[in-house]
Amino acid sequence: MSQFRRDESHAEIERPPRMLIVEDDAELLGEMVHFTRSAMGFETFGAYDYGGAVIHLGQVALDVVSIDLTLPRESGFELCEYVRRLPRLAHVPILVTGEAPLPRDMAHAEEAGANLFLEKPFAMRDLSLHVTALIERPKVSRPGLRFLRLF
Amino acid sequence: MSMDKRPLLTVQLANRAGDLAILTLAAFLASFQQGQLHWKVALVIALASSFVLVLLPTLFWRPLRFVGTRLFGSRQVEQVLIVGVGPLGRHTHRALLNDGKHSVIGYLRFDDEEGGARLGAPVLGPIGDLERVLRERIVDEAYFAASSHDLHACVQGAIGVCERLGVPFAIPVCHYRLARAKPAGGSDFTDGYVHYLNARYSPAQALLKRLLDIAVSSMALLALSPLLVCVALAVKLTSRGPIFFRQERVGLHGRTFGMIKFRSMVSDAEALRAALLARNEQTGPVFKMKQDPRVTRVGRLIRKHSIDELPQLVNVLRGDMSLVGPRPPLVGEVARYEAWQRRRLSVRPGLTCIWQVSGRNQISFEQWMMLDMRYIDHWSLLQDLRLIMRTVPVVLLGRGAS
Repeated sequence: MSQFRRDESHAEIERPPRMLIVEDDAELLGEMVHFTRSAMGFETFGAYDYGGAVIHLGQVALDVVSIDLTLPRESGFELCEYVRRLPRLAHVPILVTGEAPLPRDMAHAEEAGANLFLEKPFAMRDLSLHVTALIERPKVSRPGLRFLRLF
Repeated sequence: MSMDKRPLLTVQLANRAGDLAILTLAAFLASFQQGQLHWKVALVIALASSFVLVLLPTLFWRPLRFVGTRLFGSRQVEQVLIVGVGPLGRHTHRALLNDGKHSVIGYLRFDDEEGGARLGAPVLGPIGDLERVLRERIVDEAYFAASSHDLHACVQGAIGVCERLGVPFAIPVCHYRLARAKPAGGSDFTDGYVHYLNARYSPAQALLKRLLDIAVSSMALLALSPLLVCVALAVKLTSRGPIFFRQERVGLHGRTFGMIKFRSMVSDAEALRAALLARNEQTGPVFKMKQDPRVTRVGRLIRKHSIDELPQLVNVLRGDMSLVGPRPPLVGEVARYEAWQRRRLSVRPGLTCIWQVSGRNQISFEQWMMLDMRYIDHWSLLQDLRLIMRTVPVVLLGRGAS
């Protein structure tokens, strides 16, 4: 069941979409990478922390990045800011994940450059909905961090 | 919020099919005794329980809710004003909408902020308009969604306005970005804000006060029902016009409601008021007159013992009013209030208050407002009970302030 549709508006993407997932929970990272590869047909890269993410960010042309806010060394907020500072990735959609976000946390995530917030714990189905929403959004991006209502 | 968007009845019933199946199964199990299935008994139990537990609520939900909102109003939705159109303001708005108990009436802009598109509520002006907005609109709480310390002076000024007008407000617990740290107390402030009230009671005490209102008003209505019926007949039979006089009054945080009295004046009294304004005996924006020629004979009698005010027990039961609290003002009076006088609206209006039992009739508008402030600022449940006790003899002996 490939979740990714290639319609007219995305004709420029010929290859499978490339995604980077930064998550310090090894089990969850494995599940997310496996799901996005097998169920969504993505070419997915995984990283456990800021340092690992930076290596991938420097090497791969990414279409979407998923960042956990609580990382072992530098935080996810800082990684978002790092991504936005790279001219090449200044406009790549960023999904951030975190537990029980307060409005304050979501505001900070938005200010750091995130586009969509996914509250933990989430089902893989939620992940696919959020990622699809991010990739399929129009090229002219609207400002603001969104919080997808699933129900 | 979206309670009205209930699906079609057939869809509702289809959704309840699972409940029906479980009930039927339970009925069969219940009638399965000593290895023998009494299927007739089972059928009766299944039908009866399905009817009572599933069909009745589904069929009568709308009428029940209609009666409920008629009786108790729809006070559960709190109206919120958000100050700040930045990311924090927007995300606060979203969090408030998700709990379904709040509606956001609009935003105010901090001076350095830009317009604000895609907010989902109108921008009512710059923060300098706070006092105007709080006076013109019903605001149960103002959220200061300030995301930086640079706004300190600005928010300080706005807090002063809220305190003067008696409007509850919330300020962010912390402006800093926390990637891992959690508050040491364990329980975080649930929405990242500290909430402040300008009234003295805690939410638990407010609930107690409300329960007291419900208990006393319903018992009083029941006990006084013979008297109420007699007075209703007397009013109806001795002069032309309706039994009740319903007047638009201002309640909690500026909400208007229809305050009910027995009609004690001729039916075109409001129109005659303009002609009598020159003979007003009360200072300030209130109109009061001892020998008011518009009062009917029955009216004079029921006014002497404040019986005309008794129907307001229904307002108390509905939650428009409380037993004890500042008397609810007229809309026109509130428009002419000074800022500090508007703080009277920070608590539910009441049937009786300090002035009503003080035994003093000649009192300036200013003094009256001061007494109301004293009530609000020194509130306790005990004081409420004491005022109720002191009101009873005052009413019975007909010595109440007019």
